[in-house]
Amino acid sequence: MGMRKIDKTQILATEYQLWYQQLKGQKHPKYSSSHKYYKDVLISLLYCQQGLCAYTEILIAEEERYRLENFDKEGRYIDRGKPESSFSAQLDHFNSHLKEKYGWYWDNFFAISDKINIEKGTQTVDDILKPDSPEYDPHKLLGYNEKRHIFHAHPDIEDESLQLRIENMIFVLGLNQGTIKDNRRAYLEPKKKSLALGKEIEPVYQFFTAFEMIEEKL
Amino acid sequence: MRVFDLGIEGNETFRNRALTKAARLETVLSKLRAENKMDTFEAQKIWADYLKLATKLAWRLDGYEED
Repeated sequence: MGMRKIDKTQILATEYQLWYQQLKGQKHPKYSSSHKYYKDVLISLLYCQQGLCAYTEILIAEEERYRLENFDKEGRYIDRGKPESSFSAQLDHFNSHLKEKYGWYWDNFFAISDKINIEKGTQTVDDILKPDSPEYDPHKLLGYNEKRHIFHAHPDIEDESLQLRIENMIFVLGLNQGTIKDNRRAYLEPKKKSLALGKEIEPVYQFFTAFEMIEEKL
Repeated sequence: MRVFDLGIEGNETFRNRALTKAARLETVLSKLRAENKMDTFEAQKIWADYLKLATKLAWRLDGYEED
């Protein structure tokens, strides 16, 4: 989110997937974070998102916690109890208006940082920055001010209504949220300096989009 | 007594818009500066808009001229 395009076509939670497919066209059972498929969906999304918050790209789970081995033969997540199966990630309904009737709609789910989920709440969304949308391209829609570590609409976009739509969604999805920005700055600033000096850097594991945009400018 | 600007300080949405817009204008200005285009009318207009927002956001501007 920084925001990479996300491919959600591979669902590890196959039991949930079969159950969900049978719900097609019907009103969904009530959504709840204590539902038996909650963790299955959450971990399956973390797999698609490589352990990153779908919107801010901050690391929310290490690979060993979301890889295939965490699912049994029936496609159920193997819950190991606290603390092993506790996450700072939460399921977000991208469009919160769909939560009541279609609360288990796979396309509307993303795994995100718990803090961002609370702040996003029920704010109205615009699909322009939906990370798995076929039209979504962060490099065409977003720009990054690498001095202040702030995301903004792409500087080549001159249409003011489009700028406003993008920048409103940057706000809704928490891309410049204070703590996220602090973490992004702390993580990327040393890498930026090393890149400028032509030094080798450790592989990046979070904030990919911001990093790529910094790299492009050097 | 400092004048409290409700438009910026009292409304989070408005403040956020000012933040992203100022960041975007700063990015555009960096590019124009790198291309030696700061003397153009368009660049001066962007600079004026940027300064207004940056001042309201209480951004530190020191060192910016060296971009």
